[in-house]
Amino acid sequence: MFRLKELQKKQQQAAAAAAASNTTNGTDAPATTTTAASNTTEPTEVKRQNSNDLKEIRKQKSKESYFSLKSKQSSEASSNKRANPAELRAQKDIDEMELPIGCKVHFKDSDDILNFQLDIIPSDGLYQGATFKFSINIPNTYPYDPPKVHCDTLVYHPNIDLQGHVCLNILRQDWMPVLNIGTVIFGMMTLFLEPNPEDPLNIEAAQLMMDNRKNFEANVKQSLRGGYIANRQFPKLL
Amino acid sequence: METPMATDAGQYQDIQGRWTDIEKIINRGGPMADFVPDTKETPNIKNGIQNDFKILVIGAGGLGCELLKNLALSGFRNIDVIDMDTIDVSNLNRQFLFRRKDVGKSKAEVAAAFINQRVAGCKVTPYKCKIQDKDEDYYRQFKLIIAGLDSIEARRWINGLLVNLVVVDNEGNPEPDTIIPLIDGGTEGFKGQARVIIPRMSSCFECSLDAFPPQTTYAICTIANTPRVPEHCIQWALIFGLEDKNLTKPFDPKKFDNDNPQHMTWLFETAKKRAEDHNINGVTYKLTQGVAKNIIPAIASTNAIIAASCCNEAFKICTESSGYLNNYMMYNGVNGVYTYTFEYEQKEGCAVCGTNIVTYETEPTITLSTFLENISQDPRFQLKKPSLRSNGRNLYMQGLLHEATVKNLEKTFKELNVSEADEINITDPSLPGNLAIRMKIIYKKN
Ligand SMILES: [Zn+2]
Repeated sequence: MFRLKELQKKQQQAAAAAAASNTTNGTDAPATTTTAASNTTEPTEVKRQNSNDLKEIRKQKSKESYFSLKSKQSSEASSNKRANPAELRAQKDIDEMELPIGCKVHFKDSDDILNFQLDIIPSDGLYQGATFKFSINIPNTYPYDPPKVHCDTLVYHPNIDLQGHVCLNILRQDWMPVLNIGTVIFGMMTLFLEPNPEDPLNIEAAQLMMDNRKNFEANVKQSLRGGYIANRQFPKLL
Repeated sequence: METPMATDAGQYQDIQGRWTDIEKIINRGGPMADFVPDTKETPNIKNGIQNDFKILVIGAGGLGCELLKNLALSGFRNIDVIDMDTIDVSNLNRQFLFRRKDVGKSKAEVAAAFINQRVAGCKVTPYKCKIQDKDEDYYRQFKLIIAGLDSIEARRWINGLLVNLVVVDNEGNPEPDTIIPLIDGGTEGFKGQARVIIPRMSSCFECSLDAFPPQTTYAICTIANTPRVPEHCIQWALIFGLEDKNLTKPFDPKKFDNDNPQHMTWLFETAKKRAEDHNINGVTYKLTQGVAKNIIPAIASTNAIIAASCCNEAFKICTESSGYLNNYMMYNGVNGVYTYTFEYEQKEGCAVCGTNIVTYETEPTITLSTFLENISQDPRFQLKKPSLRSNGRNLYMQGLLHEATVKNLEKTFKELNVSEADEINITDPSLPGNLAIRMKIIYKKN
């Protein structure tokens, strides 16, 4: 229960032992005591530290242990920017990520690892050979919240609507903090290898995929060649 | 913006018996009390409560009002409160330090003024600002900090800061004087939790982040095509309605603001229209607000229970009059009353408290490649393929960013703008979990 207290006692004992070995009378109370009411040897002394002193001690202790006194000036000047845990996690994700074949990642600003672009070039399936661009943003609450994904290429796909919203379970309702950026990219690739008409965002495309697979495939081909589907022209990707 | 309000406690008269109950606790020893009881001659603890133990309350909302009242009535007189929000009329049912005339004013300021006026001798200092606006020196002055926050991001921030403040000696023992306990209260409807975080000694907020209940989100295809409940319609308005150029909006959709009533009214009407089109009942302004801000209805009694527990722990930690919570109490008032207390264990590989800041002495003329070689061979770190970033910039990254950063290898620290006391964050596949090494650079003096 009193782990903090035990630690304090241990340190005081160590300090007292050190003091005893240095001085012959050994009556010096450890100087590090702050608000701990452990001063049993000198009950008459009301050992009180006002909060400003406490602040000063804490300040000095932490500064001293990081820097020698000589270098204090430069330490004050430095920004001491603390890494944000979302960024640290993203660093680890990116560092250890193995991209599936057909995926490329671009950083507009390589120092900003929380925002990047993903190119997916499916190596198989209906969308084979075309390049689809996505913007990925890692929020500050990552990995509590999932990455945000937007499709920047107009595509005829059951799970991606014409505004670029993407329906992938792990991007919303099935997200878990143990997943990572790599899993999201893998999931995106799977969408192109196996479109899923059960979770439709482009309802017409999904309906056609279920009702008439052949016509659906023809539509995909036409869209990738820059053709029109339902009066909407798609970009030429092949 | 911050507006500290000077309130001079001045002369006051304690009501008779004001300290009777508190003195019963702090003047008597007991099997659970690991302290030297106060006497008339040495009122150490009472002095502490009255003068020295400075407490910070983060948030002056539902939990914050309760916390401030509890702390003041427990005898604490030195309290700071931070909250950037202003009072909304919907707060008045439970945030009892506020009155109708206070709507629109700062929560922190009104709460502080109320307590100062009501509890003789108590000095609450309000700050209407974000917690991120305050620096480490500000937080160092507190004996302990109590958070009554509803945002994951803010709790994560204060947790990271307090873990960071702890100085660890060469043997790995934290310096007790640098430890500032954090008591974290949280409520969601009829459920709540209170936990005690002793930075570097107990598990921290980040340790349990993975286990935090996720926000309620719905599949985007359900929202788009098969809405069934009012929440689906509200989320539709948030995701699709805002982007839809055919829907007229009295504001720039890119600047949608949860706290702007005009924006919220638009959102409500759009969601309502969507619900009518799909024969769904139950879209209200209040629910729209709740879904947009991800608010779960607040129950006054849950706040009272959780705040009481937090204040209880604060009193015990400050006075050492009894053992404190180890370290997590969950309360569930959904079906009757249920509480469960357990020890949330420190997570191996916690990105925040799992690792120490190590200092590394080198020269500004060292090249990054030599530095990499040195730390790779250093048995303290056991690195295999380290990636390094500092001050939000890449130094050297493996994998995807290898090409973009490989040219840095031949540069010196000076050329890379790595200055004295800068922190280098090192990730490596050999480090467990989300652990990273945080290395503080110091330069040798010639
Ligand atoms: Zn932790």
